[in-house]
Parts: sequence; structure tokens; C-alpha cells
Amino acid sequence: MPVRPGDTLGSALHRAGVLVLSRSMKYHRPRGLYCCTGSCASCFVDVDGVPNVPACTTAAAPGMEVRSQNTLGSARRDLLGVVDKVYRRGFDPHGAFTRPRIVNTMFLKAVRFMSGVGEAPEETMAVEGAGPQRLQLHVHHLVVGGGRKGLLAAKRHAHRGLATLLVDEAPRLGGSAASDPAERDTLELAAAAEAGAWPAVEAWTGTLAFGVYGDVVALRRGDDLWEVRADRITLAPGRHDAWPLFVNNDLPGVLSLRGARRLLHGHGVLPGRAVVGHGDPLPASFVEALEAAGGRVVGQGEVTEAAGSPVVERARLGEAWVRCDAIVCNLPGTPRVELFQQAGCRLGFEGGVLAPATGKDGATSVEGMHAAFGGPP
Amino acid sequence: MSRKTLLCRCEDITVDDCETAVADGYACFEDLKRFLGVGTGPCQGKACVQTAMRMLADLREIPLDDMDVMTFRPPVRPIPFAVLAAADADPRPEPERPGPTEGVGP
Repeated sequence: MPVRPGDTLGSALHRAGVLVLSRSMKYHRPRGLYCCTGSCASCFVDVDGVPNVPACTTAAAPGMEVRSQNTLGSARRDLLGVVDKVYRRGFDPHGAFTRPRIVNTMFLKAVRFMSGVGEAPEETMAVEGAGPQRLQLHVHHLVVGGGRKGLLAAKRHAHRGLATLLVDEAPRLGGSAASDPAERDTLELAAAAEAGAWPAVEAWTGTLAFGVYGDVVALRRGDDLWEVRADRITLAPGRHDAWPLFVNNDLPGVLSLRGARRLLHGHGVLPGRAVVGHGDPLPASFVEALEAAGGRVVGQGEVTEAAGSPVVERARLGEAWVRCDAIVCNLPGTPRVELFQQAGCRLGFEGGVLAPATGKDGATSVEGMHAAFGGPP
Repeated sequence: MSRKTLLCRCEDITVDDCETAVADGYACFEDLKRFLGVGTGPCQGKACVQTAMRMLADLREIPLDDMDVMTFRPPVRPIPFAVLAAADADPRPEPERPGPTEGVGP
């Protein structure tokens, strides 16, 4: 399959028209891209025998062997998709097929064959070289998240002379700026940080802050484990894309606005030729870029139902059904609270969404720990 | 495809499942998590938990502030066991690396 520079597995597959990447664990419903940020876990594939690899954030490389998960047959025509049709109203496993014992034994065997997420490799995989190293570091200021708010925090404190380590899981800084024309100035900040224009700031890309353990922030950098302590920590993790609630909301072709933008602006991939917008109106910059790429918006509003098999073919807006091949959801995102909660920061609801409770300058309830969130994406 | 509205795609939990569970008396988020599995799939609640919490608060007609919050445990993304296993090794406290952090710290 052809791959362009910068492609992820997800973008290359979407360009090639492969929208169904795998099947869901219980009903074997088709699964594909949604958020394109590595958060929603609906685009998992098996790469070279490693299961549960997110297609959306994994760089495509020549020679990769990519397979669908949880299928009997292919992802597009999965024979176990019959489970979804048989259990039209859903299947409640609590107390089902529990007796007699022989039925229960057979049922459990069948369930274990049919359900689950990915397949573990049968043989132990060798670790290359010396294996992951454990490293420790103490810095004055640690910033987690290289999007607009993280970049601004790093820049501000570096100008005051505070040595700052800035980490982001993506291969480039800037967060979603590369796929949002409204964030040109963020791209300039990212370029400055990457070029070392701020002497007190060191930027590590491809570095995931995966947990907070006491006063240690644990990073995965390459395959190494870094335990970082800092006098001051700024968490600027951004938001998760919210999930829409309409019938068949899980059909491949249903994308978050950010996911669609990453495909369109980031990879030059048309999210769909005929796009229906769900939620808030789609931004003009997105509509223009879509039209320039050969797509168009065929309807907008509150989608109540999607239909199609195995991908989106129609969307219901009010009483009308609209033919489309993508539904793009523009919904307010939810702050990523995981690291805050692990650090012991108090959380609260603000306008219906869970967020760290903050005071002046983003100070959380934990001393030395600050939050930096921008407006809704 | 049958008509389903998914609350959680990881575990294939529908909005109907959630409503039934609440009607059956599962009253707080931790109850719901244990009974349905919402928040326990590979996304670890990133896509579904806030929606599920709002739905639960609406169904029970209680303010969101009275809702219990799920514990989001590390790691925030799937990572290889080998990385975690490195925590058992002797640490290298002063890695050789240039940069602004050199010479600072305790």
C-alpha cells in the first residue's frame, strides 16, 4: 500500500479507502478512526504481531505487517458480526448461560473465542539491545504537553531563567496546531522551541508522561523509563474529544472534528466526499479546506441516527435522511484529568465537565503543580 | 448492523445498558463501572466516562458535584511491560546529557 511521508497507519489506510480497521470486542461491530489523537482506542490494529496498536498515531513504515483484530474473515466482512444482529437489543452477560454446568463451560469457551481485544503473541518477544533503561532526573520546571498552552508556559518561565523540560508524546510539538489554521502562531512557538530558540528550554518529543507516582512523573522516552522530579510542574495535557450520542454513533466514518482535521490538514486525506456536521457548526476554515480538497458539507445540525454497513452511508437530521460518507462531530472536548488526579489534585465540575480545580495562575490544590488549559478546541 | 447507541465503544456498552443498570439500582459511578465495565476498556474512560457520569447524574436527578469520580490509574496509554519492568533496575541518577537542566537540582 502506498505511504506518503508523515503518514500514520490510519491516514494511509483512510486515503486508500480502508475505513474498517477492526471489530469491536463483544458485538463485532466495525471499528475505525475517530479522534486521531491516540485516545479513543477504536482504531486498534495488530502490527508485526503486536496487538492493540493505535493506527491513528503510529507512523507508517515500509514492510510493516498490519492486520485487523477481533475478526473471523476480514474486518469488512467479519463472520462474527452475526452476534450484533442476533443480539439486536443487546446481550446482558450477567447470569446468562450459567446453568447447567455443561452449558456454562461451553458458553465460556465460545465467549473467549469470540470476544476480547487483540491476540497476545504466542511466543515471548525478544527485547532489543540492553532493553529499557531506568533514568532519573531533577529539573526546575517540567511542562507536560507541547500544545499551545504548554509552549506558552515553557516560554514564559524560560524567559525568567527557569530551566524547563518540555515533553510531548507526539513526534512534533504544537499539539493540534498543524491541523488548525486558526493556530498559526502556535506553530511559530513550536518551531522556536524545536529549534532551541529559548536557551532555558529543552524539548523532548516522542515522550509520553504516562503516570504520576508520588512526586515522580514517569516518562516513556523511546523504550526507556525516566523518573522526573521537578520543583514546579505545569500540566498542559489538552482535551479528549467528546463522544457523540446518536444511533450507530460507532460506525466508521464518524469522526471528531479534530480527527477529520488531522486527516485533512495533517495528511492531505479527504475525511469524506459528502460530510454531515454534528453538534456545533463546522468552522469555516474546515469547510473551505474540505471543498478545496474535493469534498463538501451536505448537512449540519443534530444527527439522531447514522446508517450504513459497514461504514457510514446516511445520517438522519431531524426527519430527513442525508446521504453522506462521513459525519464530523464538533463537540466541546473534555479536559484530560488523568495526571492531575494521580498527582492528588482536587477535581471539580465546571460547566458540566470534569476539570482540575484551579486558583491564580492555574495553581492546583497540590503545591507546585499547575494546570494550563486553553479554550475548547 | 443493528440499531445501537454506544456509550462505550471499547466494551460495547449501550445507552440502554446504562439506563437499565441505573433502573436496577446501580447508583454511583463505581457501581456502574463494576457492573457494566464502563471506563475499564482499552481507552480507560477517556472517551466515555464524562458522558457516562452526566448520564448517570441526569437519570438519578442529582447534581454532578455529588457524583463520585472514577480513579484514572497509570499508565494513561498502553505501554510495553518492558518499560515498567525497568523500574526494577538500578537507576542511572545522573545521565550524561547537555541542556538547560545540567547542574541544577538537589
